[in-house]
Formats: sequence, C-alpha cells, structure tokens
Amino acid sequence: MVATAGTRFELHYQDPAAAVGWLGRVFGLEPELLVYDPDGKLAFGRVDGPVALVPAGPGRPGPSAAGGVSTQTVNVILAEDVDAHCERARSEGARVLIEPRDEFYGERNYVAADLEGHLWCFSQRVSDGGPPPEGWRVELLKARASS
Amino acid sequence: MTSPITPAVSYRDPMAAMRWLEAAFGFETSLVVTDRDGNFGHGQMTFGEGQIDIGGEWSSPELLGPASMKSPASLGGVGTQFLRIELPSGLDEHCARARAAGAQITQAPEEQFYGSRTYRALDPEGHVWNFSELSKAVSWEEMQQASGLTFADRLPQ
Repeated sequence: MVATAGTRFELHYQDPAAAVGWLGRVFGLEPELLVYDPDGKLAFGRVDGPVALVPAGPGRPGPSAAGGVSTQTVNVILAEDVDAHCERARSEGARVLIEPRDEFYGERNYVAADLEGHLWCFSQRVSDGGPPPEGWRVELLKARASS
Repeated sequence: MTSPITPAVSYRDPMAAMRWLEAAFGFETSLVVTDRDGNFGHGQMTFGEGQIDIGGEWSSPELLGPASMKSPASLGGVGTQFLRIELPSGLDEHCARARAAGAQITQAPEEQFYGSRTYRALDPEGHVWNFSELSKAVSWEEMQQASGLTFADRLPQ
C-alpha cells in the first residue's frame, strides 16, 4: 500500500490541439498544461487532472483510426446534473451512444463518443443504490476511495 | 483527494488480469461484480489514491453502434489509451517486482527531463503502463531549456 499515488492516462488523438478545444467546449473539461514542439505542434496536453492528450502514432491510434475500437475508456463522476451535461454535449456535437439511465448501484450515467471516437461515460450519484439484478453478485472489498 | 475521472481498461480475461495486476503491480481489488454462473461483470482496483475500472471486451450494435471495446491482445498490440501511474517512491523496486511477475519491461527505469524517473511495461494482454516517481522539482523554464519544447496553460488565441 502506498501513501499517495495518482492514476493518470493518455488518450491518443490524430489532432490533439483540436481535441483540447473540443473537450472544453463539449464536455466542459479545462486544459491545464499544453506542451508544444519546436514546430508549434501540440506534443502533450493535460486536461482536468488525470487526462492527457497525446498525438496518435504507430501502435497507438485513436479509436476512429482503429476502426471504432477502444482498448480503454474514461469514466467521469460529475458534480453537476448528468442530464443537463448530456444535453449540452449533444447540442455541441457529441455523439450520444447510451442515453442517461439509472443503474442499480445508485448512479445515473450516459456514454458519448468524442471527436475521434474515444468513449466517455459520465455519471452522477443519485441514490445509495439498491440490490443488484437477479443472479448477480457484488463483492465490495473496500469502499471506493472517494465518492 | 482522488480524481473523479477514472480510466476503464478492457481485457479478454478480466479476472486473470486483476489477479496479475495485484501480483505484478501491487494494485488492490476493491470491487468485483459477477453473475450467477461466476462470470465476470465489472471490477474496480485501487493503487494508493488512484483508481482504475476493469471490464471485459464489449460490443453492442444497438447501444454502441460501430464502437466497441477490446483488449490490445485482440488488436495485434494496438492501444487507443495508455496508463500512467505515479509512485511516491520505490520505482526501481516496483519495476523489479513487475519483471519478476512476468511484465514485459519495454523501457527500463531512467530519468526524464521533466524531473521524473520512469519505466514502461506491458501487461499480459498488451496494455501499456508508464510508472513514474518524482526525482526532482524542475521549473517549466528548465524543462523548456532541456527539451526545446514550449509549455503553456492555455490554447493560443
């Protein structure tokens, strides 16, 4: 067990500079650090804490360039209303794949694809949750580190 | 304070992956959801204050359209997203433990211009993990001089 450690992750984009602007406008994610190479191209971008945007390359394409496949996705717990967030994202051009829905574990969430096909699941805690569906088993070994 | 933003990582065999992540990288399992037959549904793991979600491969034409989630093992090693884990200390020991547990170390521990010591490893299904520890504080000006890169906190107008 370690005292402090962070989980960060990199999303691959053909056009990271366009992605920084899009994620801010559509999902409300704030850019925090932008690193440019000597040609003025965005080499690394960090938005809202753990999310980094890096240029796609061989072996690390974005989902659109990989035929729609994602090997990892992003879950975001919102402090604001998830339905309002979804409507804003949709009106700004996000492709909403799964409409906002209530989950048995007390969250309401939706899934949208960004401009290069990365999948984002936005959730809001709406209740303490109820029992899982018939036949499912939940083993909670440790409370989530934060809510 | 944990971030409310969490990566979700897809595996062909998520249960085996979670056991491996415990043994090789020191993650702790916090939640496992299974169905009546014991099939894996969803997992959550922690590392210090960091969290990851674990899932299987998934596609659903009615819910996801042409999008799908797959392991790099199903895509010839391709990954659309990589993980970066910050250690408070003990990077070289962490790397040795991972190597002993079968991780493929693709980049041995080395100092980076931005003041971190890092190594890079592949898990058994090919997800790319970059581990780092802060070795010294470096200002943006010093990073700029060392790398030729430009650092900013907003997009150009």
